[in-house]
Amino acid sequence: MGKNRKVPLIITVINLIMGFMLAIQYQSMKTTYAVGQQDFSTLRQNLQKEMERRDGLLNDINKYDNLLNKYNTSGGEIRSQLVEEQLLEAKKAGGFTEVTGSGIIITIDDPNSIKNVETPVYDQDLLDLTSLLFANGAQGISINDYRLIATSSIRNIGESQIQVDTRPIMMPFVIKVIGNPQNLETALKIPGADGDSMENWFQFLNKTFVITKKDQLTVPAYNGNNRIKYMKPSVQKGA
Amino acid sequence: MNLIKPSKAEMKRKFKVRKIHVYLTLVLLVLGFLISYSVQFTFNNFGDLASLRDSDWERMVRMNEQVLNEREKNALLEERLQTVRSQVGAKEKELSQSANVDSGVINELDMMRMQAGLIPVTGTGVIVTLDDSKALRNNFEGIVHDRYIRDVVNELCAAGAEGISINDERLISSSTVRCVGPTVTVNDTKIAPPFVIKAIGNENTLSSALQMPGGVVEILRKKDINITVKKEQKIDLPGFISNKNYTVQR
Repeated sequence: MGKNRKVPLIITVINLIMGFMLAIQYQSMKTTYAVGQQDFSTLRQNLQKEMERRDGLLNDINKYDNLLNKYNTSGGEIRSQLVEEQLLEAKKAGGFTEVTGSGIIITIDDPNSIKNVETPVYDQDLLDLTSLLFANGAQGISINDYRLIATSSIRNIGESQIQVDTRPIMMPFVIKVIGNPQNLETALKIPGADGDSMENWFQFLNKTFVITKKDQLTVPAYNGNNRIKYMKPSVQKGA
Repeated sequence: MNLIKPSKAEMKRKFKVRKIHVYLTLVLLVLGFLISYSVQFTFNNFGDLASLRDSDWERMVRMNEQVLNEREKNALLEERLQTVRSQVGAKEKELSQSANVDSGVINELDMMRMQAGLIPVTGTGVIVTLDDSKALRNNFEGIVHDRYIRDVVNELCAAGAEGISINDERLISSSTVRCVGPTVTVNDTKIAPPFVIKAIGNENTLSSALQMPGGVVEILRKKDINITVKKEQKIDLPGFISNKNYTVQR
């Protein structure tokens, strides 16, 4: 009978050890593993980002360095030519010149020209559309020949009127886009996060949505009000 | 005789012992299984972890140093870019005094560069901060979507903003705010909440346009977004810095 009493004791001891082991195991796995995994990918991303930024900075420094060099070494006539070139470049970058190149034309209209009041196109729809196009490499966009610039807005005024900047636009909406035609068309036809493509969305609004790819098209320059009142170049240290 | 046929007492004793043996066997089996499973599990994961602690850990530390190093270098490069830009600006001012270059052209150049977002600018305006709601982390509502940022930017532009930056990325004519998976990008650069939108313009007009009844601030507050609008007398916007996938058009 003496043996029989020993056995439960052994089992108790074994169970105690097992419980202890499990607890330690669980604890150590939970903490270290999660931390190690997470930090690694974010670090890698951060490094990538900083390196891309460095390339961009070096590129821009180079550009201005070259320009300064040219200003210093060339004669009067060429200098004024250089300034004109700079002005043209800045205008191009800002959307103040017309751009010609390959791209697409999107035409959004009511079917059969019957005004469809039940499902109007809102500012939000056009904003989503232009945002998608810019994200897919659009270099210049105009809506009914009003060019979009850095500070352009698309807004509903009242119930059914849309203004681009301060200029009202009417159906049909003709959106001219400079960029890779294939990429732009694909972006419009591929389903987004909500499962619908941009094309589907406008068709859901009961509009015709026609994409025409062009080897050559011209997007006009911005011609609206561009008075600057509140902004001035930063006074830089070391200047 | 005993060997062939054990006594009743002996039988009883042996039987009792066997019963406990069965329990013990079971417990030991489970224990054995647990130990081997635990060893295997530990080897599989601690295999990574062990190397992570040694070589990978070192690599992580090194990578972290690299990131900090790059960041420092980039800060220096940014300063250099600023210096070169202002040297170019100064040179252009100097040129405008000379006979060959029209001073009107130089002024226009400044104007165009400011509007295109190519140079850093300063002025009055507002700072709008958008952040996820802290209370409703897992809910669809209360998270800042790219569309909300676009709405705020659109409203600021309509109210006459002259220059805008989001988390220190200057908006240019082909910029847009876009969700790529769970992250938001501007100019192909990933940005994370809180989203700080700086806009130069008339600070009163900008702020009241956002905060009018039924305006964008009210709408976003209803969606549980933390949004604040602050008027500022001096706002500095950085110039656009080109990157691999995003350059101004030539």
